[in-house]
Amino acid sequence: MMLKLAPPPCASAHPETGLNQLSVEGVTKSFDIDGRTVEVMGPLDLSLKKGEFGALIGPSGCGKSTLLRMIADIFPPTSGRITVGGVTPSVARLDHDIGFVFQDPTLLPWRSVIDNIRLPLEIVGKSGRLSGATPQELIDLVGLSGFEQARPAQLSGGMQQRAAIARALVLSPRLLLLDEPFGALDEIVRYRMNLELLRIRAEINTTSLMVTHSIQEAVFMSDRVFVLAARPGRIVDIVEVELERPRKLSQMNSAAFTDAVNRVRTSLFGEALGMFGDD
Amino acid sequence: MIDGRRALLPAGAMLAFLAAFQLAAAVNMLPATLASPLQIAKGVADSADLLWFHLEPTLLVAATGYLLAVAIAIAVGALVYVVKPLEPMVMTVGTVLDSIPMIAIAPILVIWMGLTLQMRLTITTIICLFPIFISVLQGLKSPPPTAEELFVSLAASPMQRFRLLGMPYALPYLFVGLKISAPLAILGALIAEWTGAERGLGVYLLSAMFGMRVVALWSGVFVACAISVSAYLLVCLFERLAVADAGHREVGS
Amino acid sequence: MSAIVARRRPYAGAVQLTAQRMLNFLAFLLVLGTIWFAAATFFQIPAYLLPTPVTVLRTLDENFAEVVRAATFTVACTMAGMAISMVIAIALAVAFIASDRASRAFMPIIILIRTVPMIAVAPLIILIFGRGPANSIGVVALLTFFQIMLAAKRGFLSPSANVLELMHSCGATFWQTQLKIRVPFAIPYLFTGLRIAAGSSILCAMFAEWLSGAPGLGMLILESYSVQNFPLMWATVLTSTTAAFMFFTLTLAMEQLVTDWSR
Repeated sequence: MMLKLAPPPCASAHPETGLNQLSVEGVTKSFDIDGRTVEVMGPLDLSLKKGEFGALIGPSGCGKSTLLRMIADIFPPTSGRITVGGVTPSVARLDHDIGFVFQDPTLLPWRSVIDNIRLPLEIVGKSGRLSGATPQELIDLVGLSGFEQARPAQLSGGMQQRAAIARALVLSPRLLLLDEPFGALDEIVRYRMNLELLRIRAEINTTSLMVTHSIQEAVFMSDRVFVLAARPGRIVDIVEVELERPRKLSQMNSAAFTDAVNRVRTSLFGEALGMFGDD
Repeated sequence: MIDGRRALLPAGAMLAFLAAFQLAAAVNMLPATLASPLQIAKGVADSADLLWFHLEPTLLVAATGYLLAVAIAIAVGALVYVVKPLEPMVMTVGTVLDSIPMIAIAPILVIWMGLTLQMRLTITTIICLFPIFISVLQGLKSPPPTAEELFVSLAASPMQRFRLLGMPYALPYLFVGLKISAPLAILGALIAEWTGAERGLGVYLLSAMFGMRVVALWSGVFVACAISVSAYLLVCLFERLAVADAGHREVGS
Repeated sequence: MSAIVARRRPYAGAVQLTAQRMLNFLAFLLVLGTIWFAAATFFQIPAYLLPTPVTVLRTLDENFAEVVRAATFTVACTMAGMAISMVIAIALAVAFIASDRASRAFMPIIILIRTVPMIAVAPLIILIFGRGPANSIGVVALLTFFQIMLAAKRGFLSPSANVLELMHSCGATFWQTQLKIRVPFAIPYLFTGLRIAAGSSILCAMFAEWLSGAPGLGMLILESYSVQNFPLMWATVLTSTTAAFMFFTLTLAMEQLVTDWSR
């Protein structure tokens, strides 16, 4: 059952230049801390094709959350260019083309689950895209059927995050950004949620970029893993993951998986691995 | 809020206190300026009509001033929420105005408006305004940062942010301010009457004070306290009803 | 980012705060004065009703002694009232900590009484205490009492369970715990309570004077108003606002000092 969640072809007037749904070129970011200008990131280049799933992984301070927020137009880069579906992040945001899932589910506590998912529709009003999936369809898709009227406080962390994902998808965005969405969940729940997200994506195929601090999660979920280093934040490696979709947990035993994980780990830790003995 | 068993001990203490007072009065050990509980009760009962005659305008002014203050506080709160640069200016003006003594403002208002209903309403509104406004402001700042980012990513308009994010989060804080201000509204009405009025509980109190009518004054003060407490409890009740559905958090006051 | 935050001199925060607030206040007065002047000129408000800022300042200078005398009276009464209420409030707070029974019996009553604005009871206080400074002191004491008592109680209860268990395991008596642990922990809370109480205490003292006739700033405002000496009235208003602001700033600074010190 293929849900009608892909953006309708004529809904937006934005042409897609090239094959890249997301394009980050030469982006840097500096902050003013105590009067000093600190360059936390850059220059950085990254791109995702339509339908691709990218993972961002790196040590703390490498700016992966910052990068995500710059793509989402929550604040601008100091220099460089970002395009989402061929337009600037501002245009994409105002056109509701970007869905964001935060580390904290950030559901409004006084609204029921279905009202939380409806929130973007209310904000967009009658002029919004109505040809995407309905909130009820999304609730069924993320596996929260029966919990429509529940309050967020009544749901577990994993269920709240599913609601947050549904909310991010309700306006059929071109780009889905996830900031360590499963970071607060324990490992067992996390495996489940990985599979859930993969299942949801199998239906809708939205281009996605996910920040994670788990190497396994990064490799398991994505087509490409972007490995970052800190001070300043920059990409040190891009690891292609050659695993078939749909992904299964059993693939974690395959050579392709282990190779990818090793490569990511090596790039992340560099020579330090020598200290602990290569495995 | 009122748990039967837990109310027993304070209720008992209260009764003991009143009994002691009454006893002191019975053996003539009470100073002339104090009235015994029974005298107060009798005083209220005897002057019930007169008390109501004076209570009516006071309650009217208090209620109207209170509602005006709520409306203004929310409106200015919305303004400051939407136009952030206004906040420091509004706060400074507000804090300084709050520290200007009412005794100073009252004569100014009399000069400006005369001894009218508008003057009394203005005084009442001014007295209630600040606590409600501060609570609204505090509440509007309470949403977690990710919630604010969510609304940015959803490209919500400022009014939508206020309506869908700010106000719901501000509600618990607003109620704290409403609870503090309810008795202040009564006080404001009293002060307004002391500034200049012909009828009202404040007038009744003042005349009893000047005339050294001890029982009348104590009865009047008892009524004033009773309506203050009732106003507070009324807002508590309203809060209970307004946030009846689950999912609302309580903010400690 | 350095992991160790440099320790500033304890006075620095308090002094900076005071200076900043005084500056803000002066700036506000200047702006207000300008608007006042402009409005008076534009709307052609008669000078006898709304004198120019210059006139007001000149009147203040002329009647300096009288205004200062009234201000001293008001401030002295306020401080006396707060001192009395502090003593009683802290004593009661200790009593409530010592006896849970007493706390459960009297706290609900106190919380209920707290909802009544004490100024409403002012006529009663005036009846009982007469027309002199006693009723100003009484009103201030009554008003500040609840704030300070609740702050003290909160402060006394603030030490963590671990600290109290430690004292218990050392065999400390109630008073030893009280003095060595609860009091130091409570001091910042106490100053916060003082600050909140101070905010309105001068105005309350003036209030009581207004109703009773005691010779303070409140009475001076009323007197000058009744003899239509508006410049003096405005001068007194200015003085009282400044006094209230400075009093509040003083308690803010003290609170800042104590907070900085306890770091």
